[in-house]
Amino acid sequence: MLSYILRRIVATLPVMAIVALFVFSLLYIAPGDPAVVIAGDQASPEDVERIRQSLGLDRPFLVQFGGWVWRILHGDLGTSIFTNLPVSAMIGQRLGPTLSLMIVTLLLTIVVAVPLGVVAAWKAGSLIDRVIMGFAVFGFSLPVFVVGYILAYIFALELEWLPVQGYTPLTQGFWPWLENLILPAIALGCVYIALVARITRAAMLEVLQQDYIRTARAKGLGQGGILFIHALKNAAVPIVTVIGIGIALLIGGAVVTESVFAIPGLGRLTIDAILRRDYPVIQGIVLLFSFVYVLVNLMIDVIYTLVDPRIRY
Amino acid sequence: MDRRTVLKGLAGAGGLALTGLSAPAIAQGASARTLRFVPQANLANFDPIWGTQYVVRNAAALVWDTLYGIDAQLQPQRQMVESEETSDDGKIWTFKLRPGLKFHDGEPVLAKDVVASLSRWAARDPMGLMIIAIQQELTAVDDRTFKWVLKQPFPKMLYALAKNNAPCSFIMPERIAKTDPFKQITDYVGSGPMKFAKGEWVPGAKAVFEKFADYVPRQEKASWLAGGKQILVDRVEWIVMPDPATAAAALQNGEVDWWENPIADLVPVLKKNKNISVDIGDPLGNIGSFRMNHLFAPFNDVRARRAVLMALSQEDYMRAIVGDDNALWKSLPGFFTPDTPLYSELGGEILKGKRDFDAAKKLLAESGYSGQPVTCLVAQDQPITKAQGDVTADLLKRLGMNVDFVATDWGTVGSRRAQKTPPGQGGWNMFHSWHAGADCITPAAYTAIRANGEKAWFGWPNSPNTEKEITTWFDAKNLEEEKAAIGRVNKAALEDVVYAPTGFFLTYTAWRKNVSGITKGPLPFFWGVSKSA
Amino acid sequence: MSEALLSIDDLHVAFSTRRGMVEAVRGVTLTVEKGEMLGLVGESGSGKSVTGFATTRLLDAAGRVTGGKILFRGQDVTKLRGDDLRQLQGAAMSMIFQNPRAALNPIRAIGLQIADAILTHKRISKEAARGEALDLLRAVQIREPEARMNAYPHELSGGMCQRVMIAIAISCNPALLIADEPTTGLDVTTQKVVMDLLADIAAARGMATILITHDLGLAARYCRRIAVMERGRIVEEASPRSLFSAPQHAYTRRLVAASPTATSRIEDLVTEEDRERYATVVSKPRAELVHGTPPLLEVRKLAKRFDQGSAAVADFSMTMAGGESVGLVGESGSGKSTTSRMICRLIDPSEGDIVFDGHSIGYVASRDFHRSRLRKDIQMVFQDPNESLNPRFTAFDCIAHPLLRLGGMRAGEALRERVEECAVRVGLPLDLLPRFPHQLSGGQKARVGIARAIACRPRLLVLDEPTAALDVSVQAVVLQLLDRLRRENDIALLFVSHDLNVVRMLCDRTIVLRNGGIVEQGESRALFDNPKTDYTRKLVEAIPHIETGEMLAAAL
Repeated sequence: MLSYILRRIVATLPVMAIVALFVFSLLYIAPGDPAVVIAGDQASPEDVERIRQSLGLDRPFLVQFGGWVWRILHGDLGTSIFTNLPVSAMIGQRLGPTLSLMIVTLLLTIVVAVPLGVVAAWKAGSLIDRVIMGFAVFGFSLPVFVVGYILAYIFALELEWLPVQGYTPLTQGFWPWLENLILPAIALGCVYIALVARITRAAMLEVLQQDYIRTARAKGLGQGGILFIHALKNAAVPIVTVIGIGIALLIGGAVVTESVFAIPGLGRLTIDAILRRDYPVIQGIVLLFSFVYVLVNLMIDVIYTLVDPRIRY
Repeated sequence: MDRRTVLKGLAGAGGLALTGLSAPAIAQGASARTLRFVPQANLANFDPIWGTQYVVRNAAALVWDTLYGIDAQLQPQRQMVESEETSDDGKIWTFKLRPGLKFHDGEPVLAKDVVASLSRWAARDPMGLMIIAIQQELTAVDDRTFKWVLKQPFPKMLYALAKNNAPCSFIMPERIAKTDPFKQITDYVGSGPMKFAKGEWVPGAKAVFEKFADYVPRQEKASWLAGGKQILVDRVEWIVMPDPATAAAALQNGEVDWWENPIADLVPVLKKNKNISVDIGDPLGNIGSFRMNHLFAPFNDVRARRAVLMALSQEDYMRAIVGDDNALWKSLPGFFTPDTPLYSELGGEILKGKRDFDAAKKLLAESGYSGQPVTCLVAQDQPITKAQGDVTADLLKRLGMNVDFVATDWGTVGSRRAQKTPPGQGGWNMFHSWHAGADCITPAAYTAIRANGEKAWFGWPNSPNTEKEITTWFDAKNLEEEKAAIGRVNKAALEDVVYAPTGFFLTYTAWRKNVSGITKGPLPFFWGVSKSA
Repeated sequence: MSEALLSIDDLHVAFSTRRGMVEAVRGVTLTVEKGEMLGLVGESGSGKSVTGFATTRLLDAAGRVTGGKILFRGQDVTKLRGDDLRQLQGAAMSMIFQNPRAALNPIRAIGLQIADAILTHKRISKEAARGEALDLLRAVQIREPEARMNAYPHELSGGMCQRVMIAIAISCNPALLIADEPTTGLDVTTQKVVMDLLADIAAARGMATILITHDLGLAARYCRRIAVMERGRIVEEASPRSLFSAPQHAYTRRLVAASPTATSRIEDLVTEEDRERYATVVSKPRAELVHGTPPLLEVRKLAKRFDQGSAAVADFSMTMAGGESVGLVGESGSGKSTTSRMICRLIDPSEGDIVFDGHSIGYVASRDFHRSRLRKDIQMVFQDPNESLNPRFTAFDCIAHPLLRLGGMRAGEALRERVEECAVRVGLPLDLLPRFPHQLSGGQKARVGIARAIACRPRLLVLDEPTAALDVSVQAVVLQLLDRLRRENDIALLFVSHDLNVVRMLCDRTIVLRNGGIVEQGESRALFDNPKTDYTRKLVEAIPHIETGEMLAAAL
């Protein structure tokens, strides 16, 4: 098992290398020029060219790419063109908020979506089922920013229960930290909850038709025991898979959520960096995200083996 | 469903519910000694010489002081300088610094620091470059005195050192100012009334400024960049909010104190809130721009350019930008900021009155236009360019032009507009931008009005008449001469259509009523601003 | 008569489906005495399992008891709710199912699954429950029970899984056990062991048992009373002896006839009144084999090793002449399916060669074989007609597909004629051709599978358990069809089956496989009548026979 995990981690290296080359090439051919943004609207073309030179953006592709790879191999993600801060430091500043948002959303999703899906499957075809699935469709089709605005309007502006925006680090207390994350997590989690609830329902429906569920009923087991001990764990593989895939969805949704709730996270950094063509930052973030994604996939595979003894690596 | 519709809907709902409802905000955890400010944009870098975005200039004005400062009457006033002398021939300027000035690291401000700072600034500033072109030497005479020796007189010297247009001539310690002007500084030790808290800086999200106790304000009353810059709070926190609806909600909730530029859609809600004041922020406003490429057909022909001017309705453009609020826009039959001393409408008839499409089409036909595609670069991520672009697409189609509408982002427009290749090969025919009114008071910082062909701003207009009159303005010795020159610049630039102005528009600023001392100006001034609990 | 343990009175069960309510059980009346083993026999759809599920209250959500009573110890089971119901389920009454591996939770250790049942009904500690579970594993004769406690179903054989199911079912000493097809899908030898165990346990504990099965022979061997169900009704109830000697109902007669016995011939599988239809065909004489003609198929020293290293098949050689039929028998894991797939060129052999009609085809990679012109000469019929037909293809498409891909035909009139001809040959009514698989019955699907296989007029047909999923009456018809095709078209048949009765009837020769090697081979009848190895003898003895040919003769 351990050797499998190690092998998988080593196997991510070529993936990361391909991602790196791909991202670098894409940025190289994409239109736009950071020097123009730096120089401002009034700058002369000569000034822009001087800035390009000082940033090394006039060098050939291979030289730039080689230099970048060389630095990465030495653990240096480079320096932001705009802020002149190390990319690693900028990502470090933003990691806490995004990670907090992800974790709270993930927990919220699991706590809400899985029981909803289980209940919907158990009562399949009933009014409860239709209500839950109706909400799921609704949650799936509402854009994150709409949910965000509505939540902020009700819970922050009208009821004044929660703050409108911002982020407080966990080091300043649990409640201040959580208080700022509740609304964003609900807004971000909406689509995700809908998705996971639907998948849970579908997976549970299939499992509930299996012979061993009938066996469990024949044993005289209670409904709860059947649903949660026998059925849910058997339905876990697709649910865990979707939760894992959903992390990519979360990363995408985090961009909007962080903007709506003014959370200083990686999503906003990504957008800012892209709009300004801050190449080193974009590259650093993409590398990080792809690494996280690979890691999440690995975790999912490990969870499979915990859930299902038939899966062995 | 687009974001703006949702915003408007919510603004409407909010307006109903919020009238008379919102409870007075109880003083939040942060004390009245911290002013929380939502800036117009993200403070992504902090070198006001290297980067010239307005937001950097605005933040830098807190941290670095200048030798002179422009006041509300647009006149340069002494700031760090105690006195100055000009030789009779106007070629030698001798300046003396005020005593007791200190940098944030406690070191005194010396003439050598000023010399290094001015050298770095001059290399990047249009007026600075004009001075360098005629400079003999710039030297420190003693700790408090420095001397600028020129080969010719430069009457606009004090204006150059006082102006609020980026880059401003901020005074930094010599070791920082020695940085290559095309490389970014990493040390933010300043000379101004507030210190930059580098450790708390999260680019794109937050910037914090702390009161500098050893700053020596002038005795005069503060007026824009001039006068006594008295800081009445301990901390100023800049909190970047990418989403305007969030900023509005945060302001209503008392989570922030001052929002620099609320978007027009949300202003009605803010106005209804009895805890919030809303007013025009920058009376100098902005000028919308329809920029044409003078190198390639159809806009290489002045008749095609004038056809656009004839048909263009500034009201359409302005309403697209600011909405229904008539207090926020004016038509502008010229290029210079309204309500400033040099404002002129000379030659502006073509932009006034009923729009004449028939005549415009006739003129366009005379220019030889025969249906080739017209490449319009329109940045969709900037509300101002997006709104203008939509109007333009309609306008050009009605003129019978074949519009190639390139919807893209501002970063792409920024690099593509620099292409001098033909439109079919990566080039372009027109794009939209806008210029701060503060930069359009005179030709000094007004790059977009320059018409010196290949050396001019994007679009590369070539109008010898315009250039000639700009030179006349630089040499003008009094206001009368300046006014006459600017009138002729305006007329020439309209005749040759250096670019097409789409109108003059203003923006609001909004703050909570427990904040006082906010003044109108081309940038947010924090001196004199206080906050009660 | 003392009060019966269970008495079902005029039971009606209906299912709500998309096409409205469908009655699955229409008035079943039945009694079971204490300690008795009752056989409930019928073909699929007869309502026998539904009766069992209604009794244990395990009907699907769609199913509902619409009439009648089920009295268990005098209490009406259909009216129980909540705790009363749970005290019944698994405690007083329990059930075991067909396909034991699927009936066990795949991701829960079997020890826990047994303990779950105990803990549901007894207030004892988890350790004590574990102890009882271990005792139960011993009781169902599982070797190394301590080690097996932590095993998962996939680590156990099918027979072991069924023992675990029995352990669960008897864990709370129920008074009634309902065994629904408990041995279907198991090897013949395992079938016998499991049924013997079940019978012993029931006898030892005085437990009444209802044995639900489609296999008349199995019921006859273990039950003293058999009830025959057809279309939701009990048509006949009698002792095995009288059932076989003097079946009263026409359906029972058909069923008895269709059940293969040690001596029955293919012609025997239908009752007298049905036989006329086949008579003309069956009487057609078989082509004599000419000596000296080269064999159609020659397999030389075939071997297959999978990744784990041990050989699934080793040193397998055989020959087949054109039009000959050969049976390949053995327990599961004996390598018979692997061998048949290698011959079909669906998987690649590790060693050895296959020569078909003088051409060596063993070295052609299986993924390239579809391009070979011999592909259409070797066709396969798969085990489960439900799984092996594309649900998006109509019956017509299924049959036409190989003609388009291998026969080089184009869509059009000629294709339609050819498909219809195939359908006629397998006895598939032409009006069924536009239907999709789910709209066809099991027997009809089997015919489509065979029609597809013979569409390109192959010379060798490999059949992998083609009747295992079918009812006996359908099986009888399919077997007759296959025999007829062989005679009419001179198609060689390689028949893979664990059902020795069927192999004996259909195949000229039989090859017995064990652990990937040939144990014994020879002319079918001789081999079965006089097995030379213990293994073959065990296989033969395990078949539940309906004894005595004279009884059968009397029935006819």
